Amino acid sequence: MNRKVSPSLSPREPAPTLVEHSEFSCITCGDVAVEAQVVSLERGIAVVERSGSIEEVAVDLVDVVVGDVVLCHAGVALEKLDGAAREIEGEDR
Amino acid sequence: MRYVDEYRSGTVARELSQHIGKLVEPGREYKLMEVCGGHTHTIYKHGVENLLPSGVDLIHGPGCPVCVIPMGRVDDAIAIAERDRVIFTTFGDMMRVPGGNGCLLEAKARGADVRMVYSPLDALRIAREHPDREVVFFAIGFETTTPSTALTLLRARAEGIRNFFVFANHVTIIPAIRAILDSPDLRLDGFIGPGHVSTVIGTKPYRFIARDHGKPLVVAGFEPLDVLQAALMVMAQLAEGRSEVENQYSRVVREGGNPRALEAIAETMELRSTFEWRGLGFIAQSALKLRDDFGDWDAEVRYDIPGVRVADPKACQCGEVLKGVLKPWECKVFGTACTPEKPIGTCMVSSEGACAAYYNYGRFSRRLETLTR
Repeated sequence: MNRKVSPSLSPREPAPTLVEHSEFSCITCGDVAVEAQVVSLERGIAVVERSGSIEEVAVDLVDVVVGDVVLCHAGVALEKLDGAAREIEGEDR
Repeated sequence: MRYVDEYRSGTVARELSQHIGKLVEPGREYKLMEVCGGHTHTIYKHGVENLLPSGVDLIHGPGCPVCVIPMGRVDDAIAIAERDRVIFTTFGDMMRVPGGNGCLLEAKARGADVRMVYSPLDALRIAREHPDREVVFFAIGFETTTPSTALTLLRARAEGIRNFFVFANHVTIIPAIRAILDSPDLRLDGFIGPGHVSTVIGTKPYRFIARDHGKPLVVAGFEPLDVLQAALMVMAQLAEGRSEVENQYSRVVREGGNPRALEAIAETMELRSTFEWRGLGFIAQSALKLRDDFGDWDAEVRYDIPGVRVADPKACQCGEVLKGVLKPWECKVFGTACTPEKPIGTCMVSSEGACAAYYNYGRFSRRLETLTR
C-alpha cells in the first residue's frame, strides 16, 4: 500500500482546542473575521448576533447603530459593511 | 442560506471559471499567490483549485499568523507560562504549536495555568478578576488582529490595570510579501491580496507591488466566488498587460483602511528592527513591539525572556510550504508523521495553515496527480 494515505479517506479525530469553537473556523482568527449584526449597543460594547449566537464586541474603531452589520475579529468590530442593514444567516465560514 | 448562497453559486462559479479559461494564453503557466491563510482555507474547503483551468496554479502564501511563529518564540511563551503566579492566555491554535520543548497545551498539563481566549479583551477581564495574579496575553497575528491588542492595551492603561502584560508577536504583511518577491526560488505572476488585513491597512500599501514589481494584486473576500472573481481580475490584468492594485472586496475594504484602528496600533506599538519568521528567516521591520510608553504592560520588559533560537525539525518543510515552493502534500511527513492531531510543523496546526487545510479538504484528484507524478 502506498505510504501516502488519502487525507480525505483517513479517519479524522477532532482536534480538541480547534473544534470547541467551530470545526471550520480558526479561532486564532488567523486574520479571518466574521460578519455579525449589532442587536444592542451600550458604552463602547455592542452585542452582535450571527446564526443565533450572541457575542460582545468592542466598537471603539467603528461608528455603528443597532442593525448595522459589522466585521468582527478577536472581540473587536473592525469595519462596518456597506449597504443597508441586513440579516446574516448561514454557517460560519 | 441567505446571503451566503449568493457567494457560493455553482452557476456563477462555472461562468467565472470559463472566463478565466478564455484568458489563458496557450502554453503559459500562471502562478498566483494567495497571501492570506483564510483564502487557502476557502480554496481547499470549496475546491476552488479544481475550478481553475490547467496552467493556472494557486500558490499558498505566508499569511497564517500561527504558521509563521518560529519555534523559539513558543519556548519563550512556555517559559513565561511556567512562572509562578502567571496566568498565560492565548488563542486556541497557538496552544498546539510545538516549540523545541513541547507546546503550551503540554505546559498546561504539567501544571502551568494556560487559558484559551477569543480576544485579548477576555485576557484583560481575567486580569481584572485576578488582581493577585499576573495575566499575560500571547499576542500573535497580522494587522487584522493587532487592533484588538492595541485597544486592549489602551483600556488597560485607562483603567490602570497593572497585572496585565502583552507578549507581542504581531507581524506585518507587507515585509513578508516583499521578502517573497525578493526570493529567488519563486516566480509569481500576481497576487490575491488579503481581505481582512486590508480592512485595517487599506489598499495603498500594496502599490509598490504593482508599480515596482509589475505584478497585479487584487484584494479579495473569503467566499469561494470572491476568490474566483479575484483570480479572474488578476488574469484580466495579465492578459491586458496591466499591473494594478484592485479591490474585489469593496463591500468591506476601503482604500484608506480603518484610520482609527491604525491610530490605535501606532499609539501602542512600533516596528521591531527585525523579527524571525518561520520559513522566511529574519525580516527587517516586519513585526511590532510595544512602545516604551507601554513598558509597564510589556511582557518582554517584565520578564526575563530566554530568547532561544530553535531550528525547525529536519523532516519539517513548513518553510518551503510557506514560501509556496512546495505544495503541502509534497512535504515528506505530510499526513504521515505530521497530522492536525499531532503536528510537527506549524502549517499543520491552524486550520488556515496550508497543510491542515489540505489535510482536511484535500481533493482526490490531487492525490492521484501526486501518486502518478
